[in-house]
Amino acid sequence: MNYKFKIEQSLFNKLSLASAIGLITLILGILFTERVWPNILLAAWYITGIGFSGLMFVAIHYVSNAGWAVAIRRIPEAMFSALSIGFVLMILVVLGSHHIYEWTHLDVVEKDPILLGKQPWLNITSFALRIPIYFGIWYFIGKPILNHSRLQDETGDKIHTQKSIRWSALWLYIGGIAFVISSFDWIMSVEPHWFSTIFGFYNFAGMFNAGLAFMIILLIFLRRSGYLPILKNDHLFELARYLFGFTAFWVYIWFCQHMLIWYANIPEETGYYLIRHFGAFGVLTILNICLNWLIPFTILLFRKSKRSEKTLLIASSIVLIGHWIDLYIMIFPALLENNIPVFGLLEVGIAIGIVGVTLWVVLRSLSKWNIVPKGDTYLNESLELHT
Amino acid sequence: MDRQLVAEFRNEYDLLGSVKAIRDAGFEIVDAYTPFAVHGLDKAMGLKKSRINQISFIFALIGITVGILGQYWVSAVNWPINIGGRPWNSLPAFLPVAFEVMVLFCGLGTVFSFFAWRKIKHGKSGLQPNLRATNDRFYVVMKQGQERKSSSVMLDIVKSFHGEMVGE
Repeated sequence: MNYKFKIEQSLFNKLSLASAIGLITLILGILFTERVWPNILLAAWYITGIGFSGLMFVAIHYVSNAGWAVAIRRIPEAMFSALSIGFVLMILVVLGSHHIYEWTHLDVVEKDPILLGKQPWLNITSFALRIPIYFGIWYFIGKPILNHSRLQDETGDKIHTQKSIRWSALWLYIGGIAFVISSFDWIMSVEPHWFSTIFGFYNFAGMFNAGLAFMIILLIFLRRSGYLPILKNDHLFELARYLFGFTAFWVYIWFCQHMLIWYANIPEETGYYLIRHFGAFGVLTILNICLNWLIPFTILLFRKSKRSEKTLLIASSIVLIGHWIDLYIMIFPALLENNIPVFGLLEVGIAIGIVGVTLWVVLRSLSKWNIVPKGDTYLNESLELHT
Repeated sequence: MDRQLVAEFRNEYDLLGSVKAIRDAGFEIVDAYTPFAVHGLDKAMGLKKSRINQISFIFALIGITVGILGQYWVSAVNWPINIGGRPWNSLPAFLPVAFEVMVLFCGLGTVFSFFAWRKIKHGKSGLQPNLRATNDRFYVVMKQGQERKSSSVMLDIVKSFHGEMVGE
């Protein structure tokens, strides 16, 4: 059970190239255009979601006492390190918050009673202060789970599993609430007049979808390059069922939010969907539903496609692209003039950068420890998984 | 009807091994009785994939069609009511009810077609070779072929997995 991942030189070169493209685009964008700021926010939220969903996955399986995922647990654990990049990008967002958030313009706020009422929460000082609080909560609750898992490699003591269960329960409560509030804070406040209480869950569903898709692609890549021979099709099958379920959950929450606002028909709420459902963004909204739900759901409906690497790679890539478009629709419409979506080299460059830097951080964290948690008491159950 | 033999085993590993061996020797397994679900037994017995999910799918399609068309007929054709100025044919408002009707049709349709398919009716008692199949023993029912010596071949296989023949 002693397998260790090593980043090969050719892969390292590719990832460095992708990260460099992202960084150069970022710097050029900051120098020459305002459009880069919402892009940074999108990248920050995307990467934070990947990191958050990694530990969410681990915590769910600790708390529910599930054994099957133990053999592949190191991959979601490694995804946790993506939160560091999210933190750096969020600090950048604070620097450019004037270009993204309407509530940072004090002259606008003074004339607007609604924004004035929200000012105690939505002002730049408390916004900047809350960012380290969210990331601190995630880091200081998540890190002990990772430490116990790594200590267990040497000792094989079941006390580590028991302690991890307690930390995981704490993560699910406090970390989850922090995620919901941070989504209100960072994404929903792009349009400060609009509000939706289900918005946090909606983000959670999309984020977990993307995290699962990322995990599946990473696992298939690791098995193909020979680092993870213990991965069975049964493990992929279980993950694909997760993905299948969560695509349905995503569209369920999407519809909940949409239908309640459509039915209540209150002007301050329907404005949000007015600019998203008509014109060019209407096309994007339909594309969003197809990529996040209809296509992956139909592909993954069949038992055979849940067990084959090829269809899983296709479905997971579609979900990852769909999640990007989902975030694009959440962030951009309020900031663009004439309600026309903009997509250019800037978006492509930063998206390449997201892929490069996330993979680089996650794989580097993966290479530090044994790729199978060999000391876990549930390991045999996971290796014997049969579906 | 061919003669059927019943073999008893003490644990699930012997059961799985013997089922495989008996099928490899060219005999047919009628059924297996176990106190709990044994993983891999369906594959070892060579059971075909259940087609009940296709029935569920058809019932679900019927359900969602009935749900949408029914509401359309009620609120747009037969008795149009103006609710807050919305169009009579408002698809978003129909979807939750249509979804629930779909679940209802799918669930009830699946259960009752399963009953009809397997001829399960009220008061029917379960077939068990021995009541210990619900407690701590594992049973395999095999079909004996036309050849006379086949029963001794079967006996050898069952013996080699620490089981014993208990009846016909």
